[in-house]
Amino acid sequence: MASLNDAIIDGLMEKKGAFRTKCLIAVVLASLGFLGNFYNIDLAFGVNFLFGSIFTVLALLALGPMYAIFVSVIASSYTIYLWGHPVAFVIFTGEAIFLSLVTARAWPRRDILLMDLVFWITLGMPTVLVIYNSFLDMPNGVVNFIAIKQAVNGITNVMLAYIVLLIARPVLANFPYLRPGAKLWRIATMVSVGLSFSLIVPAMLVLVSMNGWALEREMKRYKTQLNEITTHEVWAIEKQIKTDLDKLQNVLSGQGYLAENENLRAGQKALNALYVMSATGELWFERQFAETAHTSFETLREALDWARDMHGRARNATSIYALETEAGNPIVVGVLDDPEHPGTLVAVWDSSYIYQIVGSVNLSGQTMGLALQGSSNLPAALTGGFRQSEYLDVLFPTTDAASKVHLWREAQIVSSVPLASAGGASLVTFVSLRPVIDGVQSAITTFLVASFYSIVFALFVVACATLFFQRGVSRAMVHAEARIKRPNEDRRFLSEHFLLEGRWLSRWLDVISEDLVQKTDEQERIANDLTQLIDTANAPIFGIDAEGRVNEWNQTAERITGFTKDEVMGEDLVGRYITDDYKESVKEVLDKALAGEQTANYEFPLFTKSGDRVDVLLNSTTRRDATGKIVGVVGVGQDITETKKSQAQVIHASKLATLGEMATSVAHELNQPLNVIRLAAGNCRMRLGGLPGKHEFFDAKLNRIEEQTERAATIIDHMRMFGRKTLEDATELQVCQVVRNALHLVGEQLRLSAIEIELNLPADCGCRVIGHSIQLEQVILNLLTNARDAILAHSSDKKKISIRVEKVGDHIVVSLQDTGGGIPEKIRDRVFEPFFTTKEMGKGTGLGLSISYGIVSDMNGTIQVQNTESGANFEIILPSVEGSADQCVS
Amino acid sequence: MRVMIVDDEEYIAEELSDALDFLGLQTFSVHSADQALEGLRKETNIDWVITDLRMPNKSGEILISEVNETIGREINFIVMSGHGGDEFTQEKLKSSFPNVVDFVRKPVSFDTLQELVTKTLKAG
Repeated sequence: MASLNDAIIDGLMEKKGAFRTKCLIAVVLASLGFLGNFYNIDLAFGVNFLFGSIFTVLALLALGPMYAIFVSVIASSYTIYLWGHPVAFVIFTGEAIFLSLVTARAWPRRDILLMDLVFWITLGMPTVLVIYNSFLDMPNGVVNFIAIKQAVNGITNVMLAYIVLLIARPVLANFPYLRPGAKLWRIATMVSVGLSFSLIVPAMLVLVSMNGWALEREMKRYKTQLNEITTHEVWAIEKQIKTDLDKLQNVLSGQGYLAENENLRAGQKALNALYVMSATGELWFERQFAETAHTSFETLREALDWARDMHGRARNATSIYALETEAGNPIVVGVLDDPEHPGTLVAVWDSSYIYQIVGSVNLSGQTMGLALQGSSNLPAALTGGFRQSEYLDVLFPTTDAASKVHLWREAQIVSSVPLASAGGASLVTFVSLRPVIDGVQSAITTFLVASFYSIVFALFVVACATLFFQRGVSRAMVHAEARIKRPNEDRRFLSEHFLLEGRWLSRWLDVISEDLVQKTDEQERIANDLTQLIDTANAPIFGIDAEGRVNEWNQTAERITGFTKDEVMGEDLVGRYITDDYKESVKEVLDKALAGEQTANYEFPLFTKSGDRVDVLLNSTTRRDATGKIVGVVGVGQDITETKKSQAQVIHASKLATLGEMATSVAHELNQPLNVIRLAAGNCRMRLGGLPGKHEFFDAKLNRIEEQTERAATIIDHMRMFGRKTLEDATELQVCQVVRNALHLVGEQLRLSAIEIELNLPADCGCRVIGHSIQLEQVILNLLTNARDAILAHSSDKKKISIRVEKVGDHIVVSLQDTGGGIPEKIRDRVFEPFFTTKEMGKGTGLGLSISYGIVSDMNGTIQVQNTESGANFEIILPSVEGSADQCVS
Repeated sequence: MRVMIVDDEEYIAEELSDALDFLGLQTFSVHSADQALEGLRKETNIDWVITDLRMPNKSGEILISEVNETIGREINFIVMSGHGGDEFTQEKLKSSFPNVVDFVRKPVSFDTLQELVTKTLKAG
């Protein structure tokens, strides 16, 4: 139990460790996401390309849905600061939740890229359009632009996440807790990411550069327009100042410098001071009209000094200068040096004078002012709440309220044109950049929308194609996986196979090759077994090829035919080894088998090497190669030579037994009437003898009756003997003794017929069998009688009967050979049948051999006959009884 | 001397009877073992019986054994059978019944009978 607890605790610890590691990774990813959003790319006027969601996708793939949402929340929180509203934050979090939901079940079942596309089309872009339009009050073109940017940004980031995974692969193997999704791609993901990347990156580049060009062109156009206006105004200002100076000169000259003359200031509220000085700088006339909010009399005197100084160095007919007051406001100093009048006229106006002049120029939303040193360092009084861009003739608002998205929209474009006179004063005009931005964004949004939908369509096609492709691959994998019976996989697969399909393929190939090796071994073993089985089978097996030549010949076939395999291989089976009378039919059967027909139990006689005939019962099967083409026939046979013989013997024996039973009853039935006839004839003959007269005729006839009944009785007696059941117990017999007894009975007869007897009995006389001596004697007598008759009928020169008794194995063989010319082959099979005789009528009953057959069969022996050169050779084969080698009793 | 002839076949019994009559013996023919037993009880002067072995109901063998058990005098038997050649049967009968004197094989010739009468019956 303790160990189990330990195991559980270990498991928990490990899980805790895994959780801690995962949290750590999530925090790192969240930080990176935040940085990714912080270091964004400003695409156009505050529309930024963000990198944060890359890390959301990474967290989703590597850690899981909850981590992804966490990372997304942290990373996109920056956009609240960046754009000044939480809409993007909500949308990015929504994107993370959506992706988490659709991929939570089983990754990589769905393609994140496609899902992100689906998110942006169905949820993301509509939300952006609705919210930005309704609540952030932006023009349609800009909102479209922003929505499309967001979508493309999101999708691009998914791809970038994949690229990051691809690059980080070597490192990922060190993190065992990561989800397989981070380490293992599907081939479809790869295709999808690759295709999408190759689509979207060029498109993005084109868009960004197009955007840049459009902005530059628009800015240039706008600036030129602004410059033209400003230049025109500068001209107007100079012209007005000259006119005013001339007018002032005329007034002063005509009225003798009447200082009090209020006409001096007629229509010129902005005229602050008027001075006339001599060529040497002596002040002839001085009139300061009013201090204003911007100028003090001190300042005006300073302006005079400055003008005097400047004028002394470069005398021109009319000069216009601008000066800055201590408050930072420019004041305009006009100097008229007319040779027709004494002294130099100096007039000082405050800046409102300028606005009076250009007030007639209509330029909506413009701000205008004089700057002493061009547009590079505009006075704060002029720029107000704006700060000047270091690189562009643009003023950005400095107020806190101006969020970044509004920065560009509230910026001012600056145009500065120097006044003709020396002194470095320029007329500066700024005008809001908003029309430019709106113009640019509208111009490129049309293009952007078209491009975006093309890209979306292309991405959709790519996604569908890869999904379709994935379905095919997955289906094939599932189909094949079902055959792989080993679900276990080792860790190496995870680290070494980047593609899921690759991992699967290598596993599959492993299993297949292993199976193949096993199967090949198994097949080899089976093939060996089969070869051995065929070779050692206790049945002859023959095979021929399609041309009928032998190609299979097992050991049993060798044994029964006497031909070795080497001798027969490649020989024509039918032509050489089939007996002539069967050649045609065997060939027909083999041809049929070669045509595809099975043949069962066909009798197939073969020649043995020694010329004997072997009967084979053959079941032949067509042999085909792997393509189903017939390549030969193989036949499994059964040597039925012996079976056929014994079958014939069994039939024979039962035939004899039936006949025997019939014979017994016939004998009995015939015996009775014969008895009556015989006795009746005898009675007649006797009575006839007592009668007077000659009765030779009747005597003879009655005698004949008696004789013939005697003959019939003999036959019947034989028949009875043939079929009787011996009740007496069989005893042990000395075969030699029985033979001697038989010879004793007929020896004299044979001698008289001049037949020589050759007796060949074993010396030890150990030839003992079980049986009835009378019966065996009868058998031998029968054979001797037959031999004698045959010899006499044959009338051969040599008249000899050879009798031999010998022990062969467990059997005693009694052979009896005569010189009677043998038994014709035709009837050899029939000699043991009852009533079959070749002897002339009245000489034989035809029962002798069949009775002998029955007797020998009863003794569990066999009797058979062969022809030798000179005659027949009968062999009685009886089972031997082991016993003491008694001396023969002669 | 009276001889009883037992044979289920009338003709055989009759011919035998004729032959034995001719040879000078008195015969008494019956056609079954039961008749034979009855006859032997009635005719007390019969002491030879020639009987067939194979008969329906009671065979010759049973007849001999019943005679030996129920008839209180010595009666000699000559057994006549189609199976007369069967030494085994003969031996068995001879050893079982000492009063079986001889065997005759069917079909019986007149000469055999003559020999039998001369050799056995008249001698016994």
